Amino acid sequence: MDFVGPGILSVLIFLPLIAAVIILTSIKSDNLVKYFALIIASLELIISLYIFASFDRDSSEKFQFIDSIYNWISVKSFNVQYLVGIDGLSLPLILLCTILIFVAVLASWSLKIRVREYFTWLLVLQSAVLGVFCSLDLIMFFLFWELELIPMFFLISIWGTGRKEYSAMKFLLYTLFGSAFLLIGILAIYFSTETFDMTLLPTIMKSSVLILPATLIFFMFLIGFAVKLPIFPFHTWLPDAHTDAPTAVSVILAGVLLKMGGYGILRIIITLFNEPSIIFAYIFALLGVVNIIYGALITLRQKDLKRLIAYSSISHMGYVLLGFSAIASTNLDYVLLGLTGASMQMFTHGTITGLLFLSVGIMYDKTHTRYIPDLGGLSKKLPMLTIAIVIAGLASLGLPSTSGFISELLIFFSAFNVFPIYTIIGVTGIVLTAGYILWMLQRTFFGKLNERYESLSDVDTLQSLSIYLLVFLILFVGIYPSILTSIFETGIINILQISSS
Amino acid sequence: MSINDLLIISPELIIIIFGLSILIIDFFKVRKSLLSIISILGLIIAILALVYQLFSDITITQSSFLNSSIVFDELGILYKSIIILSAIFVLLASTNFTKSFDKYTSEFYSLILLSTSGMMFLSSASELILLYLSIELTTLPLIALCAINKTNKSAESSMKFLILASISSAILLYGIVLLYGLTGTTDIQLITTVLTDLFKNGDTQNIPISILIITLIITGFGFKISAVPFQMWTPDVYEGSPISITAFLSVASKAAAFAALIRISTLIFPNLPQEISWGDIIAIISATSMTIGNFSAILQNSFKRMMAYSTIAHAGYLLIAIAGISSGVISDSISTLSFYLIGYSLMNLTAFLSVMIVLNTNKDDSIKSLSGLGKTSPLIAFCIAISMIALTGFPPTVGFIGKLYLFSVGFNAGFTWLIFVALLNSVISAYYYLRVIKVMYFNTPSKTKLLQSDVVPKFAIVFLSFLIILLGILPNPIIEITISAAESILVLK
Repeated sequence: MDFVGPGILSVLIFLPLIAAVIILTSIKSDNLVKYFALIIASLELIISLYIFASFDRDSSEKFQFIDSIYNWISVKSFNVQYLVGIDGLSLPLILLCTILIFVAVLASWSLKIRVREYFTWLLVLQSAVLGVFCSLDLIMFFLFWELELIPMFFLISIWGTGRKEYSAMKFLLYTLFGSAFLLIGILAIYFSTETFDMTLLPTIMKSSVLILPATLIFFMFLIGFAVKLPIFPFHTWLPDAHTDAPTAVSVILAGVLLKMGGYGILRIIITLFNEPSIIFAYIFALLGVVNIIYGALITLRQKDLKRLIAYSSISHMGYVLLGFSAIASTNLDYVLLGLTGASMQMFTHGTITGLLFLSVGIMYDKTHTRYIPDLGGLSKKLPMLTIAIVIAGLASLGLPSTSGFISELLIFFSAFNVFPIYTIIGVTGIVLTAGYILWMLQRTFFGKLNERYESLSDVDTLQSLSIYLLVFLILFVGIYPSILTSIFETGIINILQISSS
Repeated sequence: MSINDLLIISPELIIIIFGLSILIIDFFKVRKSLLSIISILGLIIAILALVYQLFSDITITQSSFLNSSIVFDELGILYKSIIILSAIFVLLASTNFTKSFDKYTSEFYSLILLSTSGMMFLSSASELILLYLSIELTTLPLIALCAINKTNKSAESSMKFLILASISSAILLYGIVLLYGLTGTTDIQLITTVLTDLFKNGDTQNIPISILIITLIITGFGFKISAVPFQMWTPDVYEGSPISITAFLSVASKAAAFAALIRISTLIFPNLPQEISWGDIIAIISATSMTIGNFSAILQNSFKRMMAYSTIAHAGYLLIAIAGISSGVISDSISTLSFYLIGYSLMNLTAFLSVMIVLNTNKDDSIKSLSGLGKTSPLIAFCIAISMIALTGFPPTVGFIGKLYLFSVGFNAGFTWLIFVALLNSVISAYYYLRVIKVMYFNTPSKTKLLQSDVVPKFAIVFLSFLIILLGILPNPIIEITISAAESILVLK
């Protein structure tokens, strides 16, 4: 068991896990736990920023910062190694994760019940999600993929609201159902190629005979990731889980966890099953459009603010799928553009929806209701929060100069090249988005102030810190998108070169 | 019989000697805790004897005792260690528990030791009569132990166990007799060669009898490992027995039965005519066991009954490996079976023993009575939670690695559909395992009075939970042991 590598990624992945054990075993005071968790979250943010800064964009290596233990489990029929590393695709998602966990820790500052357990699970969750984005071994990937479920189950069912236990169980069973397909796919790959190593698989896959038809494995993986993204008709867990989860957890769920699905599609399906992906690209486009329109139409009908944002997430994940459909283009530039756009959409949706859930959470703490007809005119009492939610809302509908605009533009631009009709239908989704966002803003924050809310006070310093952070990200990426697109591009180029050369 | 032969069965002999002398020591009115210490000491000495065997020069792979009726190989040593260690943990955690049947303390320890020795013979038996006898030596003490509470329920479960165990033994014996009739010997080694000769030239005349033999043997073992459709006794017996016996029954006796099944399915079944696809029979039994086990477990309110159905489901998972043997992936299948069995033993022991030391399960063993345990007894609740998470198969526990390895081997053996069924079953099982966690952590504490517990049982449970996690993170050493054990049986083939 020899450890090889610079080790920084391993520190990034396992620091929260170790911190969680420390919190559980040795820190008794609630306040101390909060500060400790904040320090860990900040450290994680700093490490990920350091990795972001020192990532070599012109490197000829496909993966960087590789850590490995070659023979973690070495059996002839089951050879698993510990192998982590990042490329241009995973790097921004890692950054997104550390940012949102940092925000989540701040957003949970006023928590009073079972504080120790809460932060323990939050940190375990961070380890699991970072592990998913960094793993380069299929079994490690699956391990972290499953590990993420336990903390989420606890976080939703203990600190949630409403039918929290039902929602947590639904979330867990749905994802487990998806993982069953995922594991079959992974085993099928392994027994065709005799390796779980994702850095070698793209080359080996080309020269080996698959024991199951490639199309079948493709759909196995697609179902596995479809549950997570979520893709219609596997989406029904999402509104429940999002609505009933506590604020900080909704932020992470919508911001990071959904991206695991999209990341999986890019990292495994599109990389390893390039041909089936091209053949079935129309399925990406079709399901994408269904997600966009169906999600948006349902969003229009929502009266609970959190449910509204949850359904809007389904709609926005449709754009990601539509972006994937550009893989079928014969012009590599469009493929590159489409996949980059889809990755960008994952990042921007993370920040935008994160901000939306955060703001709604803060508002709920003050008003104690999320029911839209009961609200109204809140901008008079909560000006700062209103500005935040307006910016997030406008970014969500893709207003130029916000980050949402860039990703949607890239997606439509490239998908139109291949599936013009689907894309045209998809674009109408923007109109619907504008409809539900503006209507929501109007009913909730403008108009006549409900007398009940005369005594509300605006956000405090701590809350405004996380709001500033997310608003900054939305606007900065909107104005200077190439800071991310250039990195995503290197990752996508890797994926495409691997699979199409 | 030489001194070498005695050395080979020394662990069993030590345990039998201790088991009998406990009855004698009890005449002198010693403190009850002394009995527990003596029996644990006996088990530890037996473990040391096993270790000595492993490193001494008697490691001749085919050494024989009583005309090679006992085989001496690493597989046997591995399974004996699993059995002894689970007996040790059951006894360590039972120190408080035995107070509920104060009069019969010495009998309790003695019977457990005798049953343990039976299981150990079973896991190294290489002769069918000895195999049958060791099954009886295993079962009869367990039947008495089931009734040790002397309550109605306990007596009823013991009666059920007695009847069904006799029937299943009879069926197994019938299979053995037919096999003897076909081959003229009861020595497994000889049977292997005789069968190979017999069916070398495509003899079709004896196919019907071979089918009968396989059916009867699988049925007999089906009862012992509680696989569907031979599982009916399991929930009742598990529910009625004292919980430490349930724990012992669900772990040690299952390990012994699987050890014997491994030998038979590796050495005898493959030499019967190829036309009989016994692997498919096992696969179907496996699929129905997990499905029926898991679906029934969802409906249970009693913790012991739930765990009984969970055991049935796990028998189904373990049978995947036996099916794997049928397709020729022998070494990997045995290795994954052993690894999963080790993990399963850890998880089941943790679950049962933790519940045992907080609840008086004789009065009330409903899952609801665990309500709010996360607040009232955080350490024990945490251990139960770990075992439940591991039983579901979540990382980073031995349950995850075990399942992954098992499914991987099953997939390699060509049972793709079975693996798919098993995976969907894991999803179903999450529901009822996590319900226990839900009850412990999300419900308000129940009024059920919790038992006070000594340090030793608590320590045993924490140690077991620690092992569950440790083997989930560093599984390689144990997997290597199971592989060399699996290869030791192949030397004989």
